[in-house]
Amino acid sequence: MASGSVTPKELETLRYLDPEQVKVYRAESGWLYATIGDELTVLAPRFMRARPLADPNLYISIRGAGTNGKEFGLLREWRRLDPESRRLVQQELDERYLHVRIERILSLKDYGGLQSCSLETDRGPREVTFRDVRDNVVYSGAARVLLSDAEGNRYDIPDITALDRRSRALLSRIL
Amino acid sequence: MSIKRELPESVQRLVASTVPEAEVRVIAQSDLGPDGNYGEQWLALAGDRVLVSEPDGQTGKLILDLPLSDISEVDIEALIGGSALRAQVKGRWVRLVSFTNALSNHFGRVRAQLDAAAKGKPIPDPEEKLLRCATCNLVLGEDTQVCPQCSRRGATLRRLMSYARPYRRKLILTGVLMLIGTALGLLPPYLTKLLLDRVLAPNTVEAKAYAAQHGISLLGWLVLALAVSSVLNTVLQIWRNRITAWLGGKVSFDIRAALYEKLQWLSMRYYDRHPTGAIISRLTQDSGGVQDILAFGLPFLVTNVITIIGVSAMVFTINWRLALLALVPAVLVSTGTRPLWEKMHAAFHAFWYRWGRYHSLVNDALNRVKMIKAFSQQPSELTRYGVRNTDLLNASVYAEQTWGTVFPVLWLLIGSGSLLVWYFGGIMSVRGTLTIGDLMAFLGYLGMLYGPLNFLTQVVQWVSRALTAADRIFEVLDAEFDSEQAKGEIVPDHIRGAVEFRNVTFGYEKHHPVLKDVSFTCEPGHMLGLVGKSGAGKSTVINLLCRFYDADEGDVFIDGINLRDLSLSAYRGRLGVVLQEPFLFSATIAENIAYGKPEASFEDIMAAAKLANAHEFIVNKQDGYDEQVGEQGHRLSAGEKQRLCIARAVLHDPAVLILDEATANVDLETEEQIQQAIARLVEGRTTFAIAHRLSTLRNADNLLVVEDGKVVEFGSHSELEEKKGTYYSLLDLHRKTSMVEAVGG
Repeated sequence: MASGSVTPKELETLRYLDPEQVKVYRAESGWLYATIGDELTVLAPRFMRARPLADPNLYISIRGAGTNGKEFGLLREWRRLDPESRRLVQQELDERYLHVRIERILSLKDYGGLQSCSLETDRGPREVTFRDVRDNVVYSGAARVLLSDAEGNRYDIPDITALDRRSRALLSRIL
Repeated sequence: MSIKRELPESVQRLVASTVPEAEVRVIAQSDLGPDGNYGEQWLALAGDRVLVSEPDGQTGKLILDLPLSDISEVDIEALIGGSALRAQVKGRWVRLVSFTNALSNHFGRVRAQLDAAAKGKPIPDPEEKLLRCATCNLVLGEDTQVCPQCSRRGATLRRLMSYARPYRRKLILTGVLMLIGTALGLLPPYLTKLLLDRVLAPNTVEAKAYAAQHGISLLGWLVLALAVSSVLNTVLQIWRNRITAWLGGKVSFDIRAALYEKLQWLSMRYYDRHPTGAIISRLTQDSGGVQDILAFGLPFLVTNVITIIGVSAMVFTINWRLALLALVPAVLVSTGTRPLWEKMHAAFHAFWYRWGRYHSLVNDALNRVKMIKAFSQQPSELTRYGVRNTDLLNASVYAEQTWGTVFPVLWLLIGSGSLLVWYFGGIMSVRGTLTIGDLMAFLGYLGMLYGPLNFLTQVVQWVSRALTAADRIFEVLDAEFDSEQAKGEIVPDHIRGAVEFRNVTFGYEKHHPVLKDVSFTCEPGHMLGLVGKSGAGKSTVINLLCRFYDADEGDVFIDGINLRDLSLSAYRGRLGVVLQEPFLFSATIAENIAYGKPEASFEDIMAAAKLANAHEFIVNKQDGYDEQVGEQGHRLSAGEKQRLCIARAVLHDPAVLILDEATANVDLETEEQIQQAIARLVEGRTTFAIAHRLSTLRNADNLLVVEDGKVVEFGSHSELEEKKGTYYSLLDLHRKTSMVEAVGG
């Protein structure tokens, strides 16, 4: 477990970690550990993306357990971790980020205030209901659209112009 | 997805083979597969084993198998885009199954069940709210169990009409006026026919003879009849319009008033879940939509139907063959052009939506003028603006061009019907089987028909929109009062202010407890300081004490009376609040101080202001106590606002006082003044104080240290300091940062 006093310097500068210095492993007891060089070992580390939308695979923050766990350092290119560490980090990220990308819109029905939509996503097909979709859409950057459904799930269209014609036409009926 | 109550067969077989003859006590279904993609996983508590599996062929695939005895606690971990049910196994958290937000409610219930089982308590069976319609699987509204699709639209319409019931005399009058009006409207073409056949172009020998003799006087009578019918029709129309305008306005006035009253009494939970914008649109747009249907839509619908019936009757009487010939294309055109109308609607909706987005961009930019200038970001603002403006341009051009194209085409198609009448009717007329008068009357009637026919083709869509607006309004009207609903009956003569929290567990979302099993007491007249990091649950304690929310488990007692049984208005009348964000409303200073006690005399107001160290600065203002504070008090400084709120609390004379970070963001001298004012206010009242500056809590009789929703320490300042626990380390940290502040200035 990390310990020791925190110096002001550590509080004010980001710490980038060298992927070769970082090891992630699961002990026989089932606990997940991350060691950073020889200096510290983090028990049950959490891996968070700094830019989950714009660049999900750059800048992974290694943090202590619990929602208020502090950051031990940032991995700029985490893919350069050794294969076992990479696999575990990938698994942790996959489990934490239930991010859904819309690939195609198959059908759309507008019930006046409620829109029921049949989607093809990177996580499989999904039937979705939007409530007042125009109140629940976020435009981010030039072409990204984030839609929130009536159950509080979010769907990402990273580039609306890259959708096929039919999907765009269906979408333009509700946006 | 809809939630099944039974394990699928393959999973049943798996469970039976893994834990033979065990009773399955808890079942949960997830909408994600083990790979994180959409799919299916099942969790079952069978006997004393927790099994997670996936349906797969004949017998399901086992993913996880845990003995219940290894589990000490079960909770829900918030992930990004979903959550996971997890169990603490020998000190380590193990994710059992992940699920999307669609199932938060379902798993909230499952968590409570598994947690109880793990702790050896009886398994609760809380009722699960229906989130999707059982019939059509559409998501239901958050506070309603009525499916917007399956609920009978008739029921909504009837309910809407019930608001018109008090005005039924006027409604009946409108109906009668409509009938007379429509009948009068049918007259002119018939009179024209008489004019042509009897006076201008008589086509039989007798008619010619009659015209020669009485032509001029008949002409006079017919023109007079035409004039009378149109004048009468106009008068009736004006009368009818005035009544319907009043009716529609009055009914939507009633609905708006009911809505606003309801908004005053809705629970905080409701406001947490609904953005202000959405609530405002209920009051403005939706009630406007309802007014449209009542004032214009329904009368229009009725007149149109009557017109169609009347006109059809007339044309079929004149000549049924020609009537068929003319009506069939009319009906075809009206129904066939529906897609065109829809296209046009969609184009205009898109345009209005972009107009709204444009509006919000400009609004946002104008509110940030200073920031834009300070960072000299005019060029990037112009780019942002350019994009939005182009978007608007495109949408507007598209909408207008669609309109400009579709409309002439529609008229052309509509006109084609009368071309048929001109041609075939002309032939009949030449052959003498149809008089010129009949032909002209025919064309006149036909012209009256297209509008109503077109309207009818769109009526379904239009009614459905209006009824949706009505549904959204009724959804608010039907929303539960939550904590306010169970209005307590007990009105005590006197509130001393003894407060007790007994085993209180509470979460803003029920499956995410923020306070966990919190218990403490506070003697009347004592001051209790709440200490803890931000997010620890301090403000939640206050929220429960104010009864903005009710505890999910456990109870809060005031003078030994359960808060749920206490009359809310009597209790709040004795509760004073001074919050971190001083809440002021657009009115005078005097009105703001007297907010909780409108009957207070002006001298009482001044006395309270004096006690709150506010009198001096108030009198210095140009308009003194009559000074307008502006929206949210924006014309006052932070310290001034704070002192007004203290004055308000003083005037309110509460038995229980809540102080939340009252001295944040003010300079030292002002802080001194506020501290003084607070010291006077606190005297003799039960006080709950939250402050980040721990020094301000030194006078508290007791301190309650909260960490992660649990009470970790309770005692006086000196007791806790000696204990060298959480409070001590916070104090230590506080001293250090104060030193940094002092050094850094």
